Amino acid sequence: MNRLKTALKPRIHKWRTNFYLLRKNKLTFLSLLFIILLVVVAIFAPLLAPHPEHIMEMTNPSEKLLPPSGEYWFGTDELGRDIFSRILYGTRISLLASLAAVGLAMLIGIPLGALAGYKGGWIDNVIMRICDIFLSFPSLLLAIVIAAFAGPSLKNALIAIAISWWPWYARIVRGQAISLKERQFVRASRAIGNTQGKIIFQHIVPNCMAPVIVQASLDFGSIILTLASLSFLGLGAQAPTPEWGLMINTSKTYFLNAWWYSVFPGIAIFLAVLAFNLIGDGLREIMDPRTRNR
Amino acid sequence: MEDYIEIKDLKISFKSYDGQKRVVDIDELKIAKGEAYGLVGESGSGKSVLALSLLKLLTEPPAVIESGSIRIGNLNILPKSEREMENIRGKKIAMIFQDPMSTLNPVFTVGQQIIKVIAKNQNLKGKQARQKALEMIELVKLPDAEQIMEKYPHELSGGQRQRVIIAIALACGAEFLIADEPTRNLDVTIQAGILKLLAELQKTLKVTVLFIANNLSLVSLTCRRIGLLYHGQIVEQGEVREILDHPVHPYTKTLLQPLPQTEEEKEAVRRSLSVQENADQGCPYQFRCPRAEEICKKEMPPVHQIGENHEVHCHFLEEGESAR
Repeated sequence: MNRLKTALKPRIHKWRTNFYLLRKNKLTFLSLLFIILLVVVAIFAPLLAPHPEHIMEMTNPSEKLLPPSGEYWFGTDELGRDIFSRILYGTRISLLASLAAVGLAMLIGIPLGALAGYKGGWIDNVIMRICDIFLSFPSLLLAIVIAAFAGPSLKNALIAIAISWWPWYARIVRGQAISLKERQFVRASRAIGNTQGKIIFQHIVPNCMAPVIVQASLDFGSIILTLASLSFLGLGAQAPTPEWGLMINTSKTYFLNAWWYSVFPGIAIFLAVLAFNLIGDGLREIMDPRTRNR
Repeated sequence: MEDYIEIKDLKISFKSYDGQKRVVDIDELKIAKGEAYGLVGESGSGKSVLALSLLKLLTEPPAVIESGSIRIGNLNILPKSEREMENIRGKKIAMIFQDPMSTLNPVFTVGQQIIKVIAKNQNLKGKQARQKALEMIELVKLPDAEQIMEKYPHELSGGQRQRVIIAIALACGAEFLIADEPTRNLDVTIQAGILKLLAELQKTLKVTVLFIANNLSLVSLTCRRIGLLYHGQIVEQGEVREILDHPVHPYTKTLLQPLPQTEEEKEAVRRSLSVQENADQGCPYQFRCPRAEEICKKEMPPVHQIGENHEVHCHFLEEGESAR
């Protein structure tokens, strides 16, 4: 037990310093709290939602398009469903889908980027030119094209997003890998007989993670936004899924009479994107020692 | 004693914009099993290139191995493929690099890195590997092994890091260790500690060591035999005491000289430093040698055996030296 304590002591100290740095940056800390709140909401949505039965297909014509009230905090939609409950469930969908999209993009981009950077030569050229092709399209447009081809569904939308996003990770990791492969510990690792694959995954990839994590947290916001856009255009989640973009899409017909129907999902998207962008910026500052002490 | 390492006729060049430059040109270099051999030369004399070529770690191109053979144990190194080399590196030959500050991976703890090497090379897992790692840290005389295991490289001092690196190199279980200026960037007291450690480990573990340094006094502590490298060629080699007491080659004498005192000596140093040419023919040292004559520009100096264990590549032997 004592041993464990001495072993853990430096770690705890490090967590404390990192936490302290986080606290010093108020905006980052606030957005971190908000993101934690989002995660809690996403996990416990069924318990928190006042009307969980309003999530999927159901009609309640007598209570359609009611303005916000004590019973329905954010009002009701055209079928009489509680918008607040649907937004809570929407958190779950947005977070999970974005996580999957970012994860998938990283899964494609990081190994390809590390391979390109470490190997160099024609392999590098081929991978990077493919990246260029993907990056030459605006990412939303590319995602729309892919989603349109694959058929509209939430799963296809997030695959489309991952496909249009991976070149960013490949580029970041490639840049890092090029500088890392000349470092002494990579040579030392070769000198004790590690294979190329091992070097890429044990030395190159872990050392690239700091900028990748920052980029991922910044991207998380944009991906939530892109996902909502795809759903808004009818290429993502399909009714009756309580997806934020989809809710705004259906609400546009009723916008003049029922402002709450579009405004509250819009605020949800706005806050989530803002929080992820702020935390990305904050993380970048924390991970870069030069900006740390400001 | 049986020769463990045998380098013959090894010629390595680098391609550059103005043609190929020869950086290593060794006729013969033999190291016996369990011996510590010191290779001394100034920067740019080809020490590190030679070390990397033993592991086949040179990037080709720009490096070109023109000819020669390297035998380590019963392995013929040069024709081996990259995949075969991956099995030889670490298991048979390990290397300690120049700069202890950057040889460890900054994102893993020291323990994780040692355990990884042990797991790879000795097929140990979990607790056993950890136990072995602790033993290795204790072997290199670092106190508080448990604590060191949990530390990241940046939390250790240069000397501690170099000890960890030595531990990793030994954890491979290699029988041949290349130490490429292991005490560079360390201050003098720490240097002494590391050298003492290396000498002790070499004796207790009976590994063969190729010790590379730019300073004769460093190798004299650890090695029994030394060779002096100039422009990729061995100009003098023999037992360390013998060479320190009776240096023959002018280059060796320069390296052993104390700081220049008189104007004359300073001028000689200045003159020798202004010349950086590569000799096309003749003695490689001809441009800097204080006693160079016509013959040095034309002919490769012959190998003179002085005594049993001392050879020198020079046209001139001082009076009585060949007789000794």
